[in-house]
Amino acid sequence: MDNQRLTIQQIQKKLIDKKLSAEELFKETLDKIKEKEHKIRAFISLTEEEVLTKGRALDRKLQKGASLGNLEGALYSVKDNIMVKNLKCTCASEMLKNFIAPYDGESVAEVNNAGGISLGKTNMDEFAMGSTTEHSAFKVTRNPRDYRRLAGGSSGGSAAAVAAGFGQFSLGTDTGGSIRQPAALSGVLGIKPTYGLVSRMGLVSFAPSMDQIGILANNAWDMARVLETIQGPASSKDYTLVRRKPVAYHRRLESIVEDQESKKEKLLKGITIGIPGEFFEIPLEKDVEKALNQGMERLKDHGAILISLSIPHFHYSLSAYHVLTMVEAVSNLARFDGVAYGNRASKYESIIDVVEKSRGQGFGDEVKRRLILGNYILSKEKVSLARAKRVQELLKRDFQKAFQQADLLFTPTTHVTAFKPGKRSNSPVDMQLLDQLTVPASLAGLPAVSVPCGNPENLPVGGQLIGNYFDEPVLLRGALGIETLSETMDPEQIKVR
Amino acid sequence: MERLKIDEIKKLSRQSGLRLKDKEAVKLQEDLEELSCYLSKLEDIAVPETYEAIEEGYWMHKNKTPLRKDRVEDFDQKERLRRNAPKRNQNYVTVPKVMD
Repeated sequence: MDNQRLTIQQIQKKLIDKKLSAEELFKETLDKIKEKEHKIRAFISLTEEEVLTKGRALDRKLQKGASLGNLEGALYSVKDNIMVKNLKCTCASEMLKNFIAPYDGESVAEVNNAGGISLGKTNMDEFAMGSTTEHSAFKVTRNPRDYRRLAGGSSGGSAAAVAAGFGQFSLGTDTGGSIRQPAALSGVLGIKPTYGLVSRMGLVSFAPSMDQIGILANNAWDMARVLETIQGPASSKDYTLVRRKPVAYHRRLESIVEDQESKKEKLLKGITIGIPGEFFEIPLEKDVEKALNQGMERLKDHGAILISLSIPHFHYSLSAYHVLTMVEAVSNLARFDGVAYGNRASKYESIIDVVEKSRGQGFGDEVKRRLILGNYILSKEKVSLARAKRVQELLKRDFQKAFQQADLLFTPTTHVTAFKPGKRSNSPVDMQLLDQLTVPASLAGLPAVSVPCGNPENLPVGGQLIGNYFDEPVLLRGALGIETLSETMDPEQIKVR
Repeated sequence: MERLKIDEIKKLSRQSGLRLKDKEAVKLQEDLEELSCYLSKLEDIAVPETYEAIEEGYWMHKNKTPLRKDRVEDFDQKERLRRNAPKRNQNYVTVPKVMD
């Protein structure tokens, strides 16, 4: 098996047993990046030289017999709206193209403390507004499964990097599905933890009442290990909602499956999985439907009990999501004015002029569209805002009723498979429909994970599991269960066109 | 949502701190009309007329968000932050002239 496809635990074992050196492993990854990055365009900035230096340092540490940190031996990337000290943090925007992060975001600091080594910053839709990475000011990220298609978004660079084997995991952000949707289209796992479980410190806000840092990885084991590392309470004591004891997610999984290599039969015994009918009323592409049906059958084979249930306010969620996030974006992006923050226009006559010109030149079309619609709602449609808040509340109650009957919910992550550039970006509504299956969990602040559950026609299909608040251990168990469905998802077996 | 006139779009763009060219305003007019379906969808949802009548929201825990103490703390990143300002003069961020 390709070394880049090993779990972090397997890598650490090889390093300790001297079957592999960290320098050798990291060089393999860098060579892969050199070979494929020009086609995929996952990164905005790369830190190649540091990686090899740190690899040699890790080898020296291993020679001395020192024990390894939770993430030592793992390479990772970071979405370009999370701060990594001394690296550019552009949010894929002209507005911040020269902004150098003065400090590490809390989750980045936690990963670094655990021994993770950063490869660089990944491409995204500008300020995380979009679902394809076509709204990046710098480049469009392609899908490693098929270079003619897109990787999804907004964490498209992160999803593509993980799918291509550029490191073991990536930190992304999810406001309405920006981790889960690209994970589904690119054939990797993507988790949005419970809102407030992971610190948002060092994340450039889009809509902070829903913004959440999460993880994209190739398997549930690595996801559990990284979540264990970045969960709150944060050392800065801000940005995490909850004061609670850390959970050993990886160990919890190990207690269920003692041997990672063993068959995971009856892994989901005793777990009830609800199938919310409304999520399946959306017209699904045939391939998606086929993969999900197979997925449900296999979940049953793994011991889960499947029941039908209802989320009655599902069909209002996309409307409510867009109203709430656009209004929040108006406030959060107001700081980028070319005066204290952001690029300043070169020619101007007054302070009003400098603000309007700097923002006009600095923001792309999608950001402008959302800011103007947000201002429209704030000035003329305040009743829509109240209704959107009401929908959010009703959805939370729908989900709580559902979780009285089921431990997890299973839905599609997207209604389509990966598509070609321009197919949806020409219509803002078409593009925003890509989020319709992921926003309900975001509005309710619930944890959700997208897991590859099949690949008819060689294009990945993601199934979404939604859990109750702080039920990540059950969610990861479900993810591990579905992962066993996807033997054919080994990237090496998927033909790259 | 009714189709917004170009003048209204331009007014909204000024409120958003943006200056749009005519061509951009026309494109936005079309996009916003398409997006208005989001607002109309919400019309089925009844909302109380007064703020007091809004029920208390469900939240995942009963803890209150802790507030930081309001105190001055030494911060060693001042220079790094200043370096990111669009224009600067020694220890100051240079802003455009407000008054003649």
